[in-house]
Amino acid sequence: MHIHRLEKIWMFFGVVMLAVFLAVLGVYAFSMGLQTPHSHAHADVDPEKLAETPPFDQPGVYQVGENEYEAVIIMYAFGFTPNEITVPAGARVHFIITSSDVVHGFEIVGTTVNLMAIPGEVNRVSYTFDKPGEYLILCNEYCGIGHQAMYTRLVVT
Amino acid sequence: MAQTQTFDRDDAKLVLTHVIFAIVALMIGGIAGMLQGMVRGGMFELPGGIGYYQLLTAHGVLMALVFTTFFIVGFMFSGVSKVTGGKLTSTARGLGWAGFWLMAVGTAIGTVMILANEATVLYTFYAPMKASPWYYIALALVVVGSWLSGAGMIAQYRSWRKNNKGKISPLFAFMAVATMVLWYVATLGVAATVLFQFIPWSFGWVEKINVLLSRTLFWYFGHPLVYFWLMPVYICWYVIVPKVIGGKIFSDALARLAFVLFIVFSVPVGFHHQLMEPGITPFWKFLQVILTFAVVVPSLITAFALFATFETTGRAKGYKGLFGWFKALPWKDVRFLAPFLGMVAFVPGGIGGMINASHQMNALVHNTIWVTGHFHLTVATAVAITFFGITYWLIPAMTGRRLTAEVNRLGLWQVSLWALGILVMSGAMHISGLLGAPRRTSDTSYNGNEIAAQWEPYNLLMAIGGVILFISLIVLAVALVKMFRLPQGETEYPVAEPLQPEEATPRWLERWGVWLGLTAVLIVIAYAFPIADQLFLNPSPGAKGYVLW
Amino acid sequence: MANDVQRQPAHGNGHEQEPALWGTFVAVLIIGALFAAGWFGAFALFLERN
Repeated sequence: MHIHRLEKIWMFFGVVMLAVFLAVLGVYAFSMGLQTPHSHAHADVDPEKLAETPPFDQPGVYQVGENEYEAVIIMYAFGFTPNEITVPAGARVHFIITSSDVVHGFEIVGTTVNLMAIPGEVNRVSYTFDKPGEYLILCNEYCGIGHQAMYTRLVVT
Repeated sequence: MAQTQTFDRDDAKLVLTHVIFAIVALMIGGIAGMLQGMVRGGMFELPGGIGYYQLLTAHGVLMALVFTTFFIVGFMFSGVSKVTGGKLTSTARGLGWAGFWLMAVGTAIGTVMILANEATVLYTFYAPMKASPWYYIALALVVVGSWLSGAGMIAQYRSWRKNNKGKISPLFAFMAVATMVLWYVATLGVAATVLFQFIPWSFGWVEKINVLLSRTLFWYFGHPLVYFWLMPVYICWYVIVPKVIGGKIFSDALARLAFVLFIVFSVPVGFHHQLMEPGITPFWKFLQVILTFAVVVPSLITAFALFATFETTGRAKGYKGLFGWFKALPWKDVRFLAPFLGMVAFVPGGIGGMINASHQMNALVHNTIWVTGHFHLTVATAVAITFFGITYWLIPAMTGRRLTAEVNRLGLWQVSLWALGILVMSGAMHISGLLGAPRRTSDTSYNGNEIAAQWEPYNLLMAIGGVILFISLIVLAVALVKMFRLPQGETEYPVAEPLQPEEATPRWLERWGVWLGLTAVLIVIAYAFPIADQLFLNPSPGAKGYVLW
Repeated sequence: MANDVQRQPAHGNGHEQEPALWGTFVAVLIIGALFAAGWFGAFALFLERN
């Protein structure tokens, strides 16, 4: 199969570019801690039994270290438990999220906190809130008639 | 060789039925889309009796499933007929009709369910939102119908090969078969989840559904779905456009290679639609991200091939200089302008797609309206506008009429309006999405929230873009009516010849068994463990159904 | 037609047989540059928001 010389150069350039993208993503994800949200091993929960299943039996924001917090959140149609989060500036927050009914999406506008809450599964992501202010948290996965009204706020003092 | 010949009447009927059905679906879907934009832009309040999310479900199903599938089947049957001797066997045609009827019945049932508010679950129907079982049955009928359509094309292809032993297949037919081969592999996922999960659960025979598994099986299908849309577009760009511009196919071999690469790499990549989900480890997500980037390669080949076709054609006509050949292109021919606009849209469409699939970077855009902007560049422009361009010669060719300058001019206006509408609407969607505005949401004001207020001007732009698109559809409707009143005569079915002789294409490109084998291996590598994990190693407790609309 | 694109011989990888494709090459490189700019721009935004 004859391939034009310039096409060979183009393909080489293209594949190298793709490889560079993948290398950057891989390094940031697997050795610099900037990873996709994910569960911990064997972290299944029964969405109908959250009230008896730790940590969701006690949703809320808990301090676990110096300026480090765990936010245990249940999403449901059409709200959040707890329905407001307040942390001090500089706080590192570990979000631990599930849904008690249908699939929801947890998005904190202006940040990279954007993850799916799937009934039966526990999702986690961590974020450091350097900038004080009020953040809008909204559900970004269609979940029914009240989807556009499903929002809350996170305040960084 | 006769360039213009009257198209076989029986075949033409099959083709036209599919194409008209597709365009009707597009029109209805287009009304829905425009109304959605106007609702979100604050210009319009829906009358009682129809909800935003119902419209959105209808829009997604009609545009992304019905318009696309019916047009693709019709277009591909026309080309397969044309290049394999000009007449489908009765088997092929019979399968084509059987496929049409099954798909049409499925479409009708699905539409009724959506209008009855029994299926306001959007076209991705994520569990555990539970629609009426008849919605899932309707979708299954569309898929099974398409299997029959594919069988018809493959039957024709095999018949040609039997009568032409030792010869390499005509390029259009090869590409159509490759498209359907991909479709068969891809639809296994959605068929499995619909048949074994959704239908029993929706009927109440089974109480719970494994949500993550259903999503994984859906997206196993959902990604190659977009290549099912794209490959027929590439057929047009590779095989039709060179003829329209008075040139030849730059490399028959590389074109076939691109299609083979699509078969092999389109499927084991569904996790890039699930990057923000729990229950799938980052390792498996990243593996599928790597495979996703591999599927960019056939598009890199295509980009070079298209420009090379333009350049060699232009230089042969005497144009000189680095870009002088650009002027050789028939800009005032809608049969060229439309697909060219599609190619242009595919550049930002492809860039956005790569950003979407970039592992952790997906968090920047996931479920924001940037994603909607992305696929309105790809399926709603690269694909749709190319299909518009095809329509302007396909319908006259099928009906034995002559495409006039007047209808061509109408076509130029129609596709230009479409491109303008997309520029405005998709542009606004991209920016607004980067600012965090969510997709699939009827209203993004969040009770007067200040942060949300920054999205409002973009909602207005989206509404304006949507109205422009709708005007383009009205022009298309007018053009269609005129097409059926064109004077009798001949319109060319433009199929280009390759630059190099037949012998230059290696035969191993047509060894379907090898490619399917490779495809199967990659699918097992990418999916076997995660699916086993979700299905029985670590299954999450199932979820019961919810009707929240 | 005299100006039709010529069929090329089946053999012959010689450069004198290869068509002039500098315009194509520059065009795809421009597209490649757009890809790189878009991707790195988005990644920069992602890092900034993190």
